[in-house]
Amino acid sequence: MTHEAFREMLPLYVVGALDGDELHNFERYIAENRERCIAELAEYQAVADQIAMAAPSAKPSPNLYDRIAAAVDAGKRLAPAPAAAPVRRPARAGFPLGALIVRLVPWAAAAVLAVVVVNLSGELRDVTHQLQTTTDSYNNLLGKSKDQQGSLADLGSRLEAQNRDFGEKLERLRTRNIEQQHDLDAMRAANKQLSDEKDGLLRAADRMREQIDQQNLQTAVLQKKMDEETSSLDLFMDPATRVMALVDPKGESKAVAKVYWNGGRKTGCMVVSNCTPVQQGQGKCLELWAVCGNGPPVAAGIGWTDNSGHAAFPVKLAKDVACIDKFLVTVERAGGVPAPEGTPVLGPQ
Amino acid sequence: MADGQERVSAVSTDGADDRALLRGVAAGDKEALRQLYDRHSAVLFALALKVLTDHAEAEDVLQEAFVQVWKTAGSFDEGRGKPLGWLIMLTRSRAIDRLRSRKTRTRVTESAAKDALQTGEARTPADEALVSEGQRAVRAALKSLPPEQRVAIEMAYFGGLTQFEIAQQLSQPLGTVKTRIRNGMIRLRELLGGKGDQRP
Repeated sequence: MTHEAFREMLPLYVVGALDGDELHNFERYIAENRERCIAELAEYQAVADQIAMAAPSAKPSPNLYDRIAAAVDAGKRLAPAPAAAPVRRPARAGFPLGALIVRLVPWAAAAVLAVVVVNLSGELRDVTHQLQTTTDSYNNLLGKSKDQQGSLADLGSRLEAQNRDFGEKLERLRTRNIEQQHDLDAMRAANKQLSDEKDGLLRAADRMREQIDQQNLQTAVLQKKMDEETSSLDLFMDPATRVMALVDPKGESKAVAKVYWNGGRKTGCMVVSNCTPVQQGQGKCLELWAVCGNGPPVAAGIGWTDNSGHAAFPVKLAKDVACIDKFLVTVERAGGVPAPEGTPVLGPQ
Repeated sequence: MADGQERVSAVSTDGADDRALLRGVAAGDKEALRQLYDRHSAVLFALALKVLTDHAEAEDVLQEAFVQVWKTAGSFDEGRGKPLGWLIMLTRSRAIDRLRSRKTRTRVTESAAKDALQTGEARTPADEALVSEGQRAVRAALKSLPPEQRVAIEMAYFGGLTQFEIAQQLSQPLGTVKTRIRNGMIRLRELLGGKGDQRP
């Protein structure tokens, strides 16, 4: 028990409300911690004692103290005290003994009888009180014992009822638990099926995404081609576009080419056929040159043929020129050169 | 024997006189016992009567208590409180024991609890005249408590019931009864704790 618990129980103790183990523990704590408890206990005890003053005023019988005094006297006489003085009063000197006896016997007998009666009455009252007290204590203990037996029987029946109730609840809980376990298994199976379906859908989505990416890529390539073809078509359809035919200047091959050039748009393209193949990745390229009057050739784009000697590539002037009188094609190092190094393989007719 | 007024007024007498009287009683001075009785018999009898509700039994208890005082006054420990507190303890213990020993014990039922609410209220002008200032203060303090706290305290103090029995009779949880008694006593200590000379 802590001192805090002592303080909690102290108000209940001083009005006599504590019982059972609480009372036992409380009193044991006081006995073991007397110095610490005594002041607080006295303070609350004084408060409890004052409650007695709240009882409605009442008077005992006027002769009550006489009864108390008689009981006190009776108690004194029960103790090993000297006998009552009157019967032991010494005889007065000068009186003959016989005469004294004769004169005093009736009075002495009466006095002794009175004293004996009083003594017996007091003793009887005291013994009666003691007997009553003992009987009260016995009845009290008997009553407590019966109360406790009744409480124990009641407690036993309540425990039995609680035990039955607990067993029934436990059985219901077990049944419910089994049902819930079945439900849980079904939910797990359904969850696994859903999870598998989800994985399948995810994989399908991935495949579709890859297909869409490929299609987007193809669409972009096609779009680029279409843009180029549209651009070429525009070029070809424009009346301002000039078409200049090129052939092998030496006449040794059937290589031919046509250059479509639109001066207003500063764009054009060249289409080559039957040329000695100059394929990409072999260190060479075809390079187109634009010539204005007697000026130096200006680089106008590079390209490669396929393995049958056909090629098509855009015209891209390296710098602006005042005019273009003719185009030449030479075979140069891959990537092109700033000025022609090889002899023309195609030139104006 | 002194009249009631004298006895009740003696309630507020300083405990030093009572100690001197108790020392006299311990020495076998019956006059000292008589004076002690004159000072406190009214309060002690009222207490016994409140517990037992029977005039004859209350007188028996008071007689037993004073015989006990006569026999054991020498064992009174002056360091542990005032003589009146000891007298109250002797009287109340005997009254409660007698109450519990009754074969058909009077149950402090709800109606008795309601009766307990009447505690501290003088019923007649004559009764009022016998009430000392200290008693008025105690009654006023009890009356100022919430009824449920006052009932629980009085069922324990005057009815001799334990907290468990009170909980059963009031059909309240045990913890509620404990709280009511504890809070009520804490409040009473605040209201009455400082009334030095009027404390038993």
